[in-house]
Amino acid sequence: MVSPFQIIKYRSVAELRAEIRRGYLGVLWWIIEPVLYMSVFFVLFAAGLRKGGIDAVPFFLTGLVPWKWFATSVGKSGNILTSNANILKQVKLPIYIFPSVTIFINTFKFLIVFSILLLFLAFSTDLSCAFWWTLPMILLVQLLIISALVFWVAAVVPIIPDLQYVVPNMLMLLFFLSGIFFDISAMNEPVRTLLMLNPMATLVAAYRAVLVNGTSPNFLQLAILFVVAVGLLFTASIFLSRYSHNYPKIIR
Amino acid sequence: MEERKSVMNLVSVAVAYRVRAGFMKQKTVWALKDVSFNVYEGETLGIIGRNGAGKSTLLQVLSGIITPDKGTISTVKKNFNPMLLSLQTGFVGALTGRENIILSGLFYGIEPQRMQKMLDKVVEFSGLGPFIDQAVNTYSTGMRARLGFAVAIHSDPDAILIDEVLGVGDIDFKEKSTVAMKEKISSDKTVIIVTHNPKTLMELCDRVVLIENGKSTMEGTAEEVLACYDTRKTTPDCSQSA
Repeated sequence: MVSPFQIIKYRSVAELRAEIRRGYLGVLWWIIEPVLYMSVFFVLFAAGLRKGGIDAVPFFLTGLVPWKWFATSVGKSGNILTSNANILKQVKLPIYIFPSVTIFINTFKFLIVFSILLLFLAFSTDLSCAFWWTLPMILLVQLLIISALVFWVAAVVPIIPDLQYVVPNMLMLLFFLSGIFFDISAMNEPVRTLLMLNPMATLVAAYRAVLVNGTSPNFLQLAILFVVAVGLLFTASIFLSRYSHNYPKIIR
Repeated sequence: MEERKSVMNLVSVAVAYRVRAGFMKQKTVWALKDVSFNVYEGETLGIIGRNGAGKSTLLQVLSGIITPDKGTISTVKKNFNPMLLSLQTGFVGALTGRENIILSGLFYGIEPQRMQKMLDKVVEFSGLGPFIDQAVNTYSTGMRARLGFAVAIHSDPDAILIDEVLGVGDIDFKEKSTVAMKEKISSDKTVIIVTHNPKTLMELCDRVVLIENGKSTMEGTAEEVLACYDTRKTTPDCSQSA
């Protein structure tokens, strides 16, 4: 028998491969697209439209790059089951395969961009690498948070299709509240604590601590986030498997 | 019917769909209301019904994709998986025919390594020639159907579900695919064919179940049931023989 993990692996590779074949520049787009995206904001700073000028770029990009991993994964996830409708109406499969493929693909592409970011930081600033060993930990927590949200959104949007209009706006709100443009630690209480309830704010702060300031991330916050993410992921998986026989009926 | 082992047993199966009926309202539509029958090991069972009788829903119930809202469906052994042989399951358009054979095979439970070994056979069966190394989204509808059929026919599930079409594509391929399908059917595999075409069933099936309006109204030999199906048209007057 074919294991679900084998299916996830082959589908992910297939879709990545398909993406390469779609454009003339193929695999280059995995690098060009995020660079373009980052350049837009770079121009904003360089043109002095935002405070801080060029010096603020490393600060800004360490927030933006992890954010993009989060936003592209979660943003598309309401559609995941619908776009695989013809498969899940014909074959009996564990539903979690489909969101897992999305997570896998986006994580792979993020890791490329993240490597570019690390290179950029290594060359452009004289930063200390003292706490880079904590990066796998932060990345893992973010991966879990993303997985939990992708699973939940993918599970719920087909049931309440109206939510597909809410998700992008919620993401936009989170974007502005994640401290990508500003430093949350410089805010006053109680605003600071409220903002830190947003998981991406915690993660952005952790990346910045390690990559920009060369200090230790807040391990307690990361640990809490880890527990929350595991809990959400676990409940989402239960929900998906309980509800799995209904999706072929409600997805048109 | 002689004494045969029942591999699947449906008792009063009913399936409901909830559809939106205006602002903040939903209503329940019963696609299947009361379907009962047995499937015996090795037989070829036909299920016939007109458009909208609930055939597609029944297929999904039989393949385990959806579970009944009422009634029960039980199988003789755990994970007994009748598989729907369908065309074009999950093709990725930008990939070649060859790559899609592997992908599609996964859904039929064929490991990539095993598929790799039968790849030449599948490619040959599809008759797509040099097109097999081109992207599937450049294929015509008929070519896609050929590819899908070639993969499906090489799968080897516990029991086979067939939806309507036996032959696909142009005359040549239609002949070839019909022959291949009939070979599968006449093997000792359990086969369930769902169709609205009596001719197919008369030729292939040991037993036929008639589905009308979401209910199984009649069960018997192909001759009996199909005679009734033919004459009945829309007036349901022999339903007592169910």
